[in-house]
Amino acid sequence: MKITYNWLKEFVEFDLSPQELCKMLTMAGLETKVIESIDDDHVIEADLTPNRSDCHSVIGIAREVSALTGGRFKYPDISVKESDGDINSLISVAVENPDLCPRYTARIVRGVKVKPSPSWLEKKIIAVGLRPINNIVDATNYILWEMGQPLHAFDYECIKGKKIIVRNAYKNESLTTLDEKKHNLSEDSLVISDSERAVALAGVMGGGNSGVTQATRDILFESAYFNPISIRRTSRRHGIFTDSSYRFERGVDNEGVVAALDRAANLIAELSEGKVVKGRIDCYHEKISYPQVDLRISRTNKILGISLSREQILNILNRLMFTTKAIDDDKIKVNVPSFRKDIEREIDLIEEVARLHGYEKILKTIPSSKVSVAVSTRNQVFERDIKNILVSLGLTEVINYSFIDEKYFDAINIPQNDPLRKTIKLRNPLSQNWSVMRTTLLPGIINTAVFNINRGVYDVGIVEIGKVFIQGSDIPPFNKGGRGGILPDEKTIVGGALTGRTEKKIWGKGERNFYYLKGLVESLLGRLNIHDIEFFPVNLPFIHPQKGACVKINDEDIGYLGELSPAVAEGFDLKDKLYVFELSLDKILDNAVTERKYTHLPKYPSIYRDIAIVLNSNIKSDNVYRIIRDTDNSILKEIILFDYYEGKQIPAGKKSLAYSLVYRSDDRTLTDDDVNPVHEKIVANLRDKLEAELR
Amino acid sequence: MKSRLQEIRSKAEFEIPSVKTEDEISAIKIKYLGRKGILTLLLKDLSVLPPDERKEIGKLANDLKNWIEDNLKQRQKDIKEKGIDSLKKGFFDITLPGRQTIIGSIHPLTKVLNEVNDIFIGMGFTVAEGPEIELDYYNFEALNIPKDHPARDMQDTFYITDGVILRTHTSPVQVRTMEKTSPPLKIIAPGKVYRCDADVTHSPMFHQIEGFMVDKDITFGDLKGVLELFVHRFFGKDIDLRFRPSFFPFTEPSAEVDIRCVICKGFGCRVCKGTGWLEILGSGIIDPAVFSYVKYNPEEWTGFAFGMGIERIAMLKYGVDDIRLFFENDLRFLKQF
Repeated sequence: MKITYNWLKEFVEFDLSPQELCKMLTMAGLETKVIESIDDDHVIEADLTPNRSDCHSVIGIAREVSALTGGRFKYPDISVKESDGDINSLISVAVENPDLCPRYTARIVRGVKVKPSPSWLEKKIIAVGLRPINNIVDATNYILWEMGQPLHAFDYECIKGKKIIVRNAYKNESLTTLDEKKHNLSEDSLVISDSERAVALAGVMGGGNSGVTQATRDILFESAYFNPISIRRTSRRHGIFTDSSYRFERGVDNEGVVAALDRAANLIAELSEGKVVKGRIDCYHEKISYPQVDLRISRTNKILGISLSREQILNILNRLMFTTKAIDDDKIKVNVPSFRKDIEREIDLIEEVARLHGYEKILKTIPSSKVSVAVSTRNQVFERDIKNILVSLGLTEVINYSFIDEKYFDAINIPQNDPLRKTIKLRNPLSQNWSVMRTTLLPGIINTAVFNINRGVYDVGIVEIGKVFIQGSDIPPFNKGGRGGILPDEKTIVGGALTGRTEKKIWGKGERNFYYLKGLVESLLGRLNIHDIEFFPVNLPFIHPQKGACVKINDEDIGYLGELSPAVAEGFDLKDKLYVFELSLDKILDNAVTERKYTHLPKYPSIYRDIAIVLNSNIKSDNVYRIIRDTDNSILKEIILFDYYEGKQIPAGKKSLAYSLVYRSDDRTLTDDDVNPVHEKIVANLRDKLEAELR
Repeated sequence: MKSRLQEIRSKAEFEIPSVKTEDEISAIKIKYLGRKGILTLLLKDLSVLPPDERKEIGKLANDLKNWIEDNLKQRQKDIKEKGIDSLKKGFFDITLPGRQTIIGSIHPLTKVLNEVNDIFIGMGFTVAEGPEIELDYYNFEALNIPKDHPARDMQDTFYITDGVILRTHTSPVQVRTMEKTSPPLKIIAPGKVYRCDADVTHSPMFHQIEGFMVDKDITFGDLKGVLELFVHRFFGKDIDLRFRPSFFPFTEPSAEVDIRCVICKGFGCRVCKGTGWLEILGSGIIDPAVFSYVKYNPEEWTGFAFGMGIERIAMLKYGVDDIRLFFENDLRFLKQF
């Protein structure tokens, strides 16, 4: 909200420059700044917090300035020059629903001339960001700005039956508002009506059927206090947000309703050569009582960590226009003024004391709490470890949005009834791109890879650790649970993608391929002391039919890895092969071994023997590995495949595998006599079981 | 005897300069000075000489021995130098680029999150977590933000159903933790949060870290002390900060914490919108209404809470001017951290 420096000065005495004023208000919780200077005045913008409805006006801010500086506060002149007549003979008002409209007041001004406002008024209105329209509308806006009370002016001639009824809208009732938009009303919306039809959406916007026009002669003015929640709902229901609804939904000063009505009526009579009809309507169903709040001096000081005296606290409260009465040595009874809708409890008063005393004056202390041991959860520690391991393996961490576009399920070839498509949908997404919660990290990861490749970054190695959101399988989603709903499962996934090279382009080699990815996953799990990893063929719609594997630990499926299916890659305009993986972080953690135990380093030297065999191409290397491994379990310590060859130097349909075998004993130095029989047995086993020949 | 010595010397004078390798040097050393070397054998014969002659010849022989040793050493040095010289032949280009292995990097937001976590863990805070899809109850109601309250406008919410939303802040972890645990408590809760907002400084998904402490005698002064400690560790000891009254439904009194602009040092710039101050976190004394939801007695316990946006402080720390860079995941951006 904007106000001006000079306007403020009409209501409070102070001796501060605009900048000093803003700094003082900001440090008291009213964030303000000077945004421009016009002639000899300065426009100040206030960014107010929703609790301070009382400050949405010039006098509201003036009251704060007075409380902060001690300068005298002058309430606006609310005297009315009434003429003859009697308002009660001209209009009757009935409030059918006093819960939604606790107070409704009205006045009539007759014989007005609708014309442009005088320049002093136009200037003020323009300065605070409003558009001048005519003297009547401008005056109501002026009083709204000055006193924070929304007002509405009806053309008296248009009020049928000379009757105002404040009621809920009827079923199927509609109203065209001043902005010429037709709204179908809900029975929950409060309207102002005459004897025949709705003439305004209460507190939100007037109707086009009863507004002030150039031809208007007599005006009916409304000043009311509407139920804040009702106004808020109505305004949202119809999508109308006005300066009026904004203030009503935050709560106006119900005791200021009449003052604003009188001031506005008097001002309009002056500006338009009209006459204020004697008397006013005031339907105040039941006077709203204001809280009396007990404040303890000791509690105030304890919470703030200060030691203010009773006198200091009383002084602060009185400057804020609270009236106070001592109850005992510690307790004060505080009467809250009607404009302070935000003060209901002791803690609210304590905040006022802190604010006016100044946060800056409260000394910094370090809490004297008992010794406590700080811990991260196991998940958090591991998540950090895993990221560090993967970074050292060359991957860069990325963070994608948790919401995706459903179309990506088609793009990655997910069948229609697949559980991955059972997504949680946002009711109000910002765009289609971000409309459902992801059930897989894959679309984000592929898109990130594609994005980088399209920008000329060809060597992509990325990892993301994030949540996927899975609807519960049996329970229909979000039926009422204990706290109003049942939440979906959130599972943490570590996923990534690789393409390009392992070394930078210039003169290194090292293609990233299926085996590189497999090795990377093995390295990761190995660092977490998970060694019992198995890879099985996998049938996933987005993975190459051969170059993919399901990763298992202790027979439990923890995820997959493999080459993105060429058909899927093509859909993303991806020319390079992309190797992707997704593993369940939770399942990795279940199997990870945190505790480390030292094993003695070998005391005796190892003997290295190489073995190269030629065998049928279609024999899995795992078979070879198992035969070698199972031949001996005492001195054979390591089996390392160091060469793989298929080609001209060996017969077609054959391949050559070369292993380096490491023999070592824990209690003596091995000799050839120890190693030779084992080594020969290995060769024999390979020949017998796989028809493998030494090369 | 003397002539034999002279003879050995002439021979050595001839042989030593002609040796070319270290092996030849050892051979010559053995030939003259070894256990059966020419000079060694001659010295053995000294005993047959009369004493005065023995003394004279002994000295001469010893001189010769030293002379041979010195010359061999010199020769050995010469050969070594020549060997190094030969390594200087040809051309080796050290300016060819090094063959770098690609190394990954941690996302800048994770880095900042870890750093903030570590500072608070160092102060004795324990890390907690909560769900990203959250109940309205935990995100709003139990934090004293009833339905139809204008405070709901402060956070544009993504809805899934009426009662289920994407959490708009990490504060629900406060309620979830307090519901399960009795005070005293010292907790931080980092994580992703969501709001319907997207521009240069707003992302629909971003990260926050929530912190709170509940104990018998927690004061507003304690809140100031702890947050100053954090700011000084994270941004540097010389960074000024100020506490400004504000409003959050779940704290009272509430305070916004500003730091002196790290870009312009307080003179006023585009980043601080000319004010010289940057808003970095919201905080306050936990509202008794929140305690009543989790059945803590507000007369017995008090606490403070704070929350900050990780993107915001990462942008300040690294000088990033567009929040979207964090989620675009351009590797050329990510690898700068």
